Amino acid sequence: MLIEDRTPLPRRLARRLRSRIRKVLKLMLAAAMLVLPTGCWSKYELTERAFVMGVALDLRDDGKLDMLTQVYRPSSSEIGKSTSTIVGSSVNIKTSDDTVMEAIRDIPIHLGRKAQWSHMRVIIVGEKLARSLNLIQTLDLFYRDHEPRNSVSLMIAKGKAAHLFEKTPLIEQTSSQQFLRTSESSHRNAAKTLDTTLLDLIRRMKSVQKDMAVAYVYEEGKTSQFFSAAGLALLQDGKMKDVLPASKVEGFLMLSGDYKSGAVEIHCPGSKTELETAEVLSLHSSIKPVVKGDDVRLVLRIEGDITINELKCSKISTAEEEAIFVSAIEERIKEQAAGALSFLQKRQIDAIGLGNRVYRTHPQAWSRMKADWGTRFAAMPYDIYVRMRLVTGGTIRSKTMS
Amino acid sequence: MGYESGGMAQDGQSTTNGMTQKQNKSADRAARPLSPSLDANLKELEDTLAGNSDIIFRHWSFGPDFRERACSIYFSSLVQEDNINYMKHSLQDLETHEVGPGKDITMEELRNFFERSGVSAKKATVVKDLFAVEEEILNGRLVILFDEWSKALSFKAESVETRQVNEPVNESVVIGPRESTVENLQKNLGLIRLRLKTTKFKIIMVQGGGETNTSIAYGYIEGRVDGELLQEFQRRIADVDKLEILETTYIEQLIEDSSYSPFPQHRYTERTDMAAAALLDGKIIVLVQGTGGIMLCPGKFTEFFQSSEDYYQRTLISTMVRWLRIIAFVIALTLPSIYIALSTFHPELIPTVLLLAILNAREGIPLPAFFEALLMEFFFELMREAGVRLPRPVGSAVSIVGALVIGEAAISAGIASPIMVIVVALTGIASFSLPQYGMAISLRILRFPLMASAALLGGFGMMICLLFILLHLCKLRSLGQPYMASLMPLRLSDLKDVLLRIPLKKLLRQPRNLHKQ
Repeated sequence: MLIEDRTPLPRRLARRLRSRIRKVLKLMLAAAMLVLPTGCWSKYELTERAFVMGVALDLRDDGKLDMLTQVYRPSSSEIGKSTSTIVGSSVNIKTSDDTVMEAIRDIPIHLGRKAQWSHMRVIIVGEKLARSLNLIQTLDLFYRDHEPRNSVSLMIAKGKAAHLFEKTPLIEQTSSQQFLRTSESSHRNAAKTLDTTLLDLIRRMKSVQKDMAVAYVYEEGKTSQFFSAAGLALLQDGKMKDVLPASKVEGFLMLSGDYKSGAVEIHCPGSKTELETAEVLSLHSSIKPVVKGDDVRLVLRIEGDITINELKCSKISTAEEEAIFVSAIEERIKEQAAGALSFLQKRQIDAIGLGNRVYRTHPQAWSRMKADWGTRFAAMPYDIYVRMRLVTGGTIRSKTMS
Repeated sequence: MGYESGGMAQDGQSTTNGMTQKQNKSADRAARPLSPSLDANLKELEDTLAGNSDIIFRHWSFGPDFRERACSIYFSSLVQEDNINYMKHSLQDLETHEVGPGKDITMEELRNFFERSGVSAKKATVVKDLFAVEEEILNGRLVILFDEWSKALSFKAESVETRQVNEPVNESVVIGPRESTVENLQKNLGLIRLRLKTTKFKIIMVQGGGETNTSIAYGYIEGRVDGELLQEFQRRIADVDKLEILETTYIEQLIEDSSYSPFPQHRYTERTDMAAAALLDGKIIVLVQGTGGIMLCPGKFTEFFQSSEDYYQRTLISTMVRWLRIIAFVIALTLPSIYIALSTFHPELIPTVLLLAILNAREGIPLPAFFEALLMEFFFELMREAGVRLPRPVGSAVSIVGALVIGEAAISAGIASPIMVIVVALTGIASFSLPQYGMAISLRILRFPLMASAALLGGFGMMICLLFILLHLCKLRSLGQPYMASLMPLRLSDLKDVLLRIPLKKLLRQPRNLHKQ
């Protein structure tokens, strides 16, 4: 049983000890009081900083970088409505300089507050910049600095990126937020693009095979308020080489294993105009390079669940009819995957990361093959096996219209 | 009065279980025995009791030719119902027929009867000592002195209006007994004894000192309470006979291990069922005459989150409410500090959408976050104190003013941001949800150093301050027992009644978690 031992110290010693401790405590208290109003050096109020929502980087004709920073503008009840460069509840600051860092340091001369990068939503790089300069070298600051996060969305714009930020957001508070959300939902729900982050870029640049695909965004017309996040920009050695059109992105996502959900269209048998659709609820694809010596063969297995969205000419009243419909869907999926693959092969851009997979499983074979990987990739034979499962007819009641 | 009433008498003639602790308060005071002469006794008593307008000396005469004399002495403020004539009843004890004026009774008969403990109608105690006589009178009893007898008779005649047993004011429950203690010690002890019908439940009386001479009672269940714990407790209250005790909290502050700790080391309740449950757990309860608070010692940190209602409701809801209390504790302690630390040092930790909302709220506020928080907290504390002190007629007006001033006007004027008001209000509500008031007070105290450390060094500062609090808690002891007994060292089997409340089917059938090391 632990009752504390309270035998007292000799009186004089105790008194001296006590007074010394008291003196030290008083000094500490005074020191703490001094620091209280100021705090330590990394302290700042929320109103002293400008929170950056998005960044657009472009290359000027004379080689300098054009940077547009979209900063959140808090709406307060007393501050009246203002004019000009304020779009919605954000402010666009345009700066221009040789490097990104210098351009960032020019922001306070316009704005009056230092930028805070932790809540950046999107980085959009203009096409000219992406084609001329190595992307990871340009964006090195965002990767290295402690404030920006690697999970920021990365997109490449058709033409000038700065134009995109001048559009007013449709629902969100800032257009940067809208870019982020469109990228995400376009990937997840429509399979029309890939939601790439800065981290993806960094990881791919550190792998052995550096080709990759980045989300592509374009405006619907110079005066329109709409933009589309559809298609992919294909990068080789960090520079943009080509654009994968939106129609081929579904196949691409199946190849790279990032397909989340989307729709498949098939023609009615015997008709070129009538189309039926099925929605893909889930899709798992496993792509495997089969290496035999120095020959690589691509084996792609796709399996998933589908549900019927529009049925015009096919019937699914019996199991056989169902199987016919499902196999038609499977055929179409196979076509999509093959179409995307042949597009990549023609341009010798291994954006699906096949080289990395070979390196992971057969490093010696890779060391022999890496010199001419482009040509090998272009000539690679492939097998695609698709197996889909019809989960539901889509109706609540058993009777349908057609 | 210059006298200290001393001696061996106790409050209450029927001391429970027949066991009383005789505290010899002053060994240097010799007993002053009563003399056989009534006049001599009366002269002595009038000296000490003089100057009181409410003391009554009533003289009687009885016996053949009204030769025998007697005198009743009592305080009229203590014996308010005086329709019982104790003198008459004493005489009646000696005759089979109606005694009338008492012409046939002699002192001899009276002496014989009472000295031999005859069966009297009204229970009489025989008193031999002048000090004892004074003490009896001060305790509200009626003393009759007789001529030619060196002893006196004392009757329990106290009848002062006191509060009725009612619902507990501060600890109400939805389901369960609504019996709270009153100011009378014997009534309280009776209420508790009715719940524990066992001979092992011992109640010991101790007498306070000074001019109050308050009766203090402590109780325990023999066999469940730790012997050393009891000894430690007795050692700590050993000098209470020199101190003027007015409330149970005086005893608490007397025996607590750390007077400067913000955390209460003993629980405090006015519910008798909670006292009974604590006794069954091996605790010692302390009650004081004149107040309804029961002190349960020693206390453990985990016990401050338990209320008696937890056991009167079913398992699931009790467990959820326990978790709610733990979360409320954390919120009440750290929410303002977290807000200050996050907004001034770590805005990257706040989710973006929430941050944008906070930015909207904070734009245009003149004060930095720390001072704004301090100001709001200060207002809230002012309101709280004012709410306790204000007289009932002005109550509603003041609360409206408080709510309007702090809530609406401050926000519209742009002095405070709505986020800060939410944080402060949530903190206040969370601190009210703890069952023990002492623990809620400790949170009120600790919130401010935590806020200061958050303003100083952000999350790091908070961590340092919380570490200090933790260190203090680990070192804290209650009646010599470690305060964080079940948590550090972690004993999961003891925690079965802390984080969860396992079904009573299992709980009742297991041996009780006695307060042992």
